[in-house]
Amino acid sequence: MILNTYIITYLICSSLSLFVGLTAAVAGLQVWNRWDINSEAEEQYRLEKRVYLIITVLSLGFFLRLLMIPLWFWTLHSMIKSIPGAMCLVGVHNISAPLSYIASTLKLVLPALYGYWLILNLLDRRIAAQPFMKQKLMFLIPLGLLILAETVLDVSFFFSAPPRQVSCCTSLFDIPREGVPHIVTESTWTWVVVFYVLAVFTLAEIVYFIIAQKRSASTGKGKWFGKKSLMLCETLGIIFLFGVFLLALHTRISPLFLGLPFHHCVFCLGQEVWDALFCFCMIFIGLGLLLIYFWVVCSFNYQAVNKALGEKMVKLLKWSGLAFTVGLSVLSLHILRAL
Amino acid sequence: MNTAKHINLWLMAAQNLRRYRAKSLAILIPLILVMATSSFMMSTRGGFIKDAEIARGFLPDVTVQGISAGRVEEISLDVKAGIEDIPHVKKVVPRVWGYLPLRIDETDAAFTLMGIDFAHSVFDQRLPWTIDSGIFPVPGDRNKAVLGSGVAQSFAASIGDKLQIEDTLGNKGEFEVAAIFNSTVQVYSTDLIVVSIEDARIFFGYTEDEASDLLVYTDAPEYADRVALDITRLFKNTRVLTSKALTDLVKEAFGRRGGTFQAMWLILLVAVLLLVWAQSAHISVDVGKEIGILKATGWQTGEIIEMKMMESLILGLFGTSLGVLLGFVYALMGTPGISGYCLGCASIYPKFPVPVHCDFQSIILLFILGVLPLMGVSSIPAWLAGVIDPDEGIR
Amino acid sequence: MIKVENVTKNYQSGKVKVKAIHDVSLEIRRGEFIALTGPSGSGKTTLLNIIGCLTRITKGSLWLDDQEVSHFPDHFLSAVRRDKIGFIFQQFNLISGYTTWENVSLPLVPMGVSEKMRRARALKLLEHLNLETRADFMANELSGGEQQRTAFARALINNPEIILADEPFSNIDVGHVKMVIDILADLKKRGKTIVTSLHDSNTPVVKLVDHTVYFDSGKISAHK
Repeated sequence: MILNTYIITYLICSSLSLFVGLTAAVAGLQVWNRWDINSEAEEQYRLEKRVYLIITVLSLGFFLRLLMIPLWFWTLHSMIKSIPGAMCLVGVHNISAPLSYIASTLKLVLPALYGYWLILNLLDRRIAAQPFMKQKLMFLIPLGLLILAETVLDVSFFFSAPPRQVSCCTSLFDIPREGVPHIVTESTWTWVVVFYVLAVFTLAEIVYFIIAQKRSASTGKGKWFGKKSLMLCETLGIIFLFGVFLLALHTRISPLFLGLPFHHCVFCLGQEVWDALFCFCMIFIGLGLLLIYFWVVCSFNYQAVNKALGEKMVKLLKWSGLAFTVGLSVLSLHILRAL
Repeated sequence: MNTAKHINLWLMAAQNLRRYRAKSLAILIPLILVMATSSFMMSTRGGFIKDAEIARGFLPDVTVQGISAGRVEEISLDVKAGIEDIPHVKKVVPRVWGYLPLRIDETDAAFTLMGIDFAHSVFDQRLPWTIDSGIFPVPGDRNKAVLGSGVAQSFAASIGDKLQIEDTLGNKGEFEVAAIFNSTVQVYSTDLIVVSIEDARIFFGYTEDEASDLLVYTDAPEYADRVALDITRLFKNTRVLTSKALTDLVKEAFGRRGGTFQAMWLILLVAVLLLVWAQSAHISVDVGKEIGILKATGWQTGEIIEMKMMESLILGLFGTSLGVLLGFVYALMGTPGISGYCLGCASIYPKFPVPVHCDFQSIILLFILGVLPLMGVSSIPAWLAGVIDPDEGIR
Repeated sequence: MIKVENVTKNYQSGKVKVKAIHDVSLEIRRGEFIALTGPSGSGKTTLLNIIGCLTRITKGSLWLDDQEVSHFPDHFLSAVRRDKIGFIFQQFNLISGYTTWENVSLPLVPMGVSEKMRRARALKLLEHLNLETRADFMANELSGGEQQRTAFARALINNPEIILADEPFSNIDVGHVKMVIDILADLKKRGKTIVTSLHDSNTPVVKLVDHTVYFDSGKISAHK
């Protein structure tokens, strides 16, 4: 077991996050069971008070989750010197891969889920009947379970750090080995090109939806509102685009930026090239916000909500487009300079 | 987002803290003290780690020691030629060193005497930076010594003085003080006496073909791991240490020490959080009435909760800022009262100041530790205050 | 404009259920001045609290401006209180740690009105109520009459359509009664809907009243 200031700070945040997640899930379940807008006003008010508890802890939880992203990676970084063989985060993750990679992915996914819940709540509270109450309460159960799973993964990760040699990115990627999929070790421009094609398409899509969303503001009508199939397609599409982005980083951009032809490590890239880390964050934020947009507008179709939605959703799309464009521009400039 | 509304709520929260001064101070004072403790711990730990990083510049890429029956002992110079044949090895320099247990004016002290080849000095690249006064010895100079600042102070020695050294084990020698190190890497140089390798051999009773360790320099630091691996493969009974491993060891030692301190410090933090809970979970009749009035005049439950959370945030930010500053100042003053424990080498005499360093990440960590738990503990009382019924509050 | 339909309100006092009002129905038109009278504990204040959206009803419904608000969520009711209702409490309920103008401007804080604007609006109202010299006094430094006028100013700062006054004459000396009557008369002239509870139905203010509703044991006993 390794114990340093970063790990202790992280564990405090993790406990707080668990408290937030479980409080919200338990309170959510209690309210969900009894929520009936047509029942006695006094009973509804009692339940509403619990909903305020959920909103309070989840609002705090959202900021906590945002802070926990850098904190988690700093914590992993602080462990490099304690783990024999580790030179970057790949080595640290290898303590308990693949679970550690799942834990890292959850760090990025959970803030988006919190953000989605808060937007859903914001819209719900704009209408007296609170039409999404049951949906948003139900959402807390898987959210709570994910946080519980994440905490278990984190704690087991920190407490199981073994004093043994681990393999790191160098041994995996520097020398191409048999058995490692070709796609991982090849230095090819293919994925970079695919990424740019998809990125341009995504930017066009953002612009299209900004215009369409603005047009629908007065009527509250839009063909894509409440379309679950679109939500599924966009979710898969955005995940695919992010996957392609990672492959582009891994196959060509890392070796190019790091100046070592066989060094494909994305973690080393983030550790050593700050603007690569910046554009990674920007592209992640851009795609995350776009995903939230589709989850919100495609989940339901209430005209009153759609009207209320208009301005907020245009803003969300603008921020998504801005973050994505900034990330893409920084990446492109660096690629041009490196060439 | 209605920014003006949030600004108003911030201002109201600050005003409330002023109005309930006694309650605010009851939380603020312990918070400042606890954060000051954590701040000075982190800045001294940071100082040691920073020193280790600076010292890495002086270290060879690889250090090779001899091992016999699992214990570290002298290394034969026969190994030197073998290492020089390994690809990417630039040069191999032998070194002789050992500890000097001494008694100076009825006080125990422990210094380090290090004999190096002045033709391949590890300090030669950085002389203007490391030497405070005097001239660093050149190849061929005998019975000349460069002293660490702590050693010079202990012997009250200055440039040109003849220094008679006799340790409690019976080793003795006489050296002329040629130069004195400055305080750039205090932890590493304060107790150091650098002499020629020949003088060190005589002092410690080494034979001509022996050294304490071999310092291996490579073509580029990136080759250190590969060279270290080759040495391990080629020579049995050697202990091979890369400069990264050595500095990581120091970082790890102080990192873990910091972690253990931090774990104990958590008890203090929990005590403050319990105090915060006790202060805020109890909603007095006056506060309840105020909330009732605010709600009756159109304030929403969410706005009351936000204002209450902002009160905690302001307290947390203010308390942590002051605490961090106080702790840093205490560390800069040399952690009076506990510096011996911080340095961990109680026999070094005279004492030298505890190194201090605070970076961006440490400050962020301190703010996370000071603000977030406080906000977490305050969230339930804030909610309890927010959901007070207006008519019940007023009644 | 205000419609109370078969409203029942029960309170839980420990293990005992207390019926505050039972099956009360009442309709108040825009601009009317209504007085609720009756002995202590007859349910006047409870009805005022219900109309003021300060308390939830157990049964029945409450309509304000053709909107059924009894099932509104909490934050919607807060908005109704802020935008449509001005409440003057029997005990004035000023916050002692704030100055007079700060108390008056409290409803404007969550609306995002700047401090400068809040002060300007509060001073204008205080001037109208002859309290401009007391603007920077702490609330607990004011006399009973001044506190009463401050409470009126706070209730009026958002220019609400409905004014609810709970026993406005019970905590002020005789000298200030006329002043309060003048304020109410002025509000009536400006077309505000006023509902007040009165312990004593012989108070001079009854001259202004359009209807008097008599309460007894949580029910309406008479309507004049």
